[in-house]
Amino acid sequence: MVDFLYSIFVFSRGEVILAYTFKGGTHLNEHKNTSKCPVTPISAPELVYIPMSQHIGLHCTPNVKPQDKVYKGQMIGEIDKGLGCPVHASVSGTVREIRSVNNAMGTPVVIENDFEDKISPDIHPFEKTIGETTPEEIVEVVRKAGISGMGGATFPTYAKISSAIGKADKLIVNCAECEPYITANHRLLLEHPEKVIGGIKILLKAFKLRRGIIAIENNKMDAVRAISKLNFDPEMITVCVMKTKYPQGDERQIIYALTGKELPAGKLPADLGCVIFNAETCAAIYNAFVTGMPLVERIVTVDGDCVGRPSNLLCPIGTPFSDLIRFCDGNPESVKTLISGGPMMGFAQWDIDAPVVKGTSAVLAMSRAYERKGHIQQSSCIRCGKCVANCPMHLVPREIYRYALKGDLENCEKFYATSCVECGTCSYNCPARLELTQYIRTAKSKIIEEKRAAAAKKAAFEREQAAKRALNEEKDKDKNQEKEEKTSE
Amino acid sequence: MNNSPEKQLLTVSPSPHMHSARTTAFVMLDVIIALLPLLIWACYVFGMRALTVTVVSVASCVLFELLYTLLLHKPISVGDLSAVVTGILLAYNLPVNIPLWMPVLGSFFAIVIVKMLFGGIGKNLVNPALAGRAFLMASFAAAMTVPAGIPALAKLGLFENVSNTEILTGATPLASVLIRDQYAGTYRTVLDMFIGNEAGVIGEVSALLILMGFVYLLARKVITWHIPVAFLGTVALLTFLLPGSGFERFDLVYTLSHLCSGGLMLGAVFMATDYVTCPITSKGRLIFGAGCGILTVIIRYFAGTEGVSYAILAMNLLVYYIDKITVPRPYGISKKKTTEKKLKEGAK
Repeated sequence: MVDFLYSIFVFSRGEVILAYTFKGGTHLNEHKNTSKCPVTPISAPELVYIPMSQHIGLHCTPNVKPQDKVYKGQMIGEIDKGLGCPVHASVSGTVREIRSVNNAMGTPVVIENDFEDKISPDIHPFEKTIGETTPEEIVEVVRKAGISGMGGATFPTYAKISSAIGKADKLIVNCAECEPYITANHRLLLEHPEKVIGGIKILLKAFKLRRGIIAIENNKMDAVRAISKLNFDPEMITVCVMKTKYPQGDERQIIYALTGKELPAGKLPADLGCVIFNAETCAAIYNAFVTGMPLVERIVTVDGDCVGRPSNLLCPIGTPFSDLIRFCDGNPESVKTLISGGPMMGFAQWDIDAPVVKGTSAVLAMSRAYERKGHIQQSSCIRCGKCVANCPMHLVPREIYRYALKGDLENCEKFYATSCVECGTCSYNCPARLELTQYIRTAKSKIIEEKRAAAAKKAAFEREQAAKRALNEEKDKDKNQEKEEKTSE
Repeated sequence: MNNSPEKQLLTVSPSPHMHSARTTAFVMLDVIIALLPLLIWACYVFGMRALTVTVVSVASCVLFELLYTLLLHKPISVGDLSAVVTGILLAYNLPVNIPLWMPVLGSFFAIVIVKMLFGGIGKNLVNPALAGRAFLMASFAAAMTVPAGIPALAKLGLFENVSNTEILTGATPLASVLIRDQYAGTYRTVLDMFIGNEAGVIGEVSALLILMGFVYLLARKVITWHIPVAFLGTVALLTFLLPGSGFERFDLVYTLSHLCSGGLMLGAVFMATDYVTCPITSKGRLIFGAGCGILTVIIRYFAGTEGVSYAILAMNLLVYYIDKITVPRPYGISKKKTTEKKLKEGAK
């Protein structure tokens, strides 16, 4: 089934493994300080902030009012039409307010925790066994559970499943976790591999497939062993070990490593017959079926030099980052840079109280000292070619950067700026410390924006022309009629 | 999530939030480390004067760059150590008994004219050290000629010197490879050349130490294998299949003498791989290396003199075009599509 393999032998702690990999990319300093830290559940704080937009797509509309009582797992925000996931309360208590705060995360519903953990009466395990379920039912359960991609991209999972049904012939579970620091998926596979496997079984049923692949980097061999200890049909699940290299977790690189095919620009993995899910998403699907509990908590790696005790925490959605830092013996006051997600593609937060959302895989709290250490004066490009050699998309970042600096979008496009996946490998490696990724990102979004504007303009022009033509035709008709009338007279 | 004004806001910056510790200065330091064993060997073969020439050259390179930036109120750039590398490479291209004012003049040409006037590090079109050497060669050919008798004759002290006329002239190993009448290549002479027991400019004599530097730079991922392998491979292939007039074909000793003599090794490993003046794509680097190899052999055969530095300088000037034709095919964009796009552009 794995038809073409771009694979090499790698040495890993005394073993020689055949590992899948891709062309380009770079091996980062891993900083996996928390790989030995078991996942610790933390109790919900007094107030949780649940943003209405935790996924790609439309914002949810809150269906609760201030002073309403809510249960844990109750739906508090929904979407009538269009792409999006419903949002659920992660604690029981009273809705304190729904404030429109100008926050990157959208409007949050603030719930005051009553610490009783009353679970919503609507929540019950799925009645049927896997054998009897239809794909439509699976999509519906996943949609209702509000599951969106938990690796960070937060694409609504039900939409991914329903769009790939019938097209997918290869199910890949992404457990590469190529970003430094993050170990959430690693710990999940070590502690609850059965949940991931269960989720895969459900997804296989939805796609009517026989076999799924778990793709995992070779710095997590203990997790590979934990999976293989489980009793499951080896025909059903294959574990593919991949070389530890950033960005192995990018779906394009996984597809290339496991199938040898390149995902054409602008196409979805489903167009190649591949469908890729994050390991934690699979576990969330499993939970939604077995307990009926929607997605209200997730594993977050808390690390960084402001944190005294780096840990993996199982925390309710909506917990402010400052609470996580305090729980890990950190001082929120000393934090200078707060990153939600990994250090390569994560987002710097301006608010220490930003809440954990469905896509938060890590919280990294860095001090001013870290920042100073990283801050080195930019110098000129010395054409070392590291950005070209390491670009996983095989672009020439230096050229795009040069043209982006000048604002020459036409040439940026000629060098395929729009193919950039913004993984940050070029900026990471640049010895002159140029902000290559940022400039390419800006150029890319400008090009896309301009194209959209041009298309809209063209459409408007065509509409206008059509209207004019219609008007002229009517006039002609009128004239003709007049003529006819005249002639008939 | 209060937006109270007294709340301290955190620093935001675009991703990635992590950087490799390798800065330009680190890279240059690695190159310097790879170059140092050559200096020690030169001091052993030629005497301590090799050190004097190198120090003078490095000091004047750094000083000229510093003065230039100070006088023109530019940001001070000597901290990136690239001037030190230029100084060392320039000195390595000079004979040990050169008058000491010549490296100073060469440094001035290399740093001020070739590098700084074109915009400083990263902007120069040709390798500054090689341009400096070519300038000195064109101006003072006699002083730049390598006397064959040097290693046997003089272990020169720090400030001792001896003029070319005082040394018995004879054929340098390279000359003997190039001229049929003087060619007496055996494995023994090749081994001497490989180890570096021969006449030559300061840094070029020991092929062994240069190759060790190459391995070090590869291991530290400072350079890629493409240019040296393509360069040396092309020279080896051409000299093996198409030897110069009067020599026999398929003579391995002849090929090895070509590889180990003259500035070929030094040029292929340390000069042609200069980041600024070589192509940035791996395919482009292969083309660049092969081009250097072909030009070197042509100059050696038909001009009867060392051609490595001129070959590299000539290829330096083509880098812009090599880069242009070797843009890699991006992931997910089919070849057909790119050629179609090119055709369309051509039609425009």
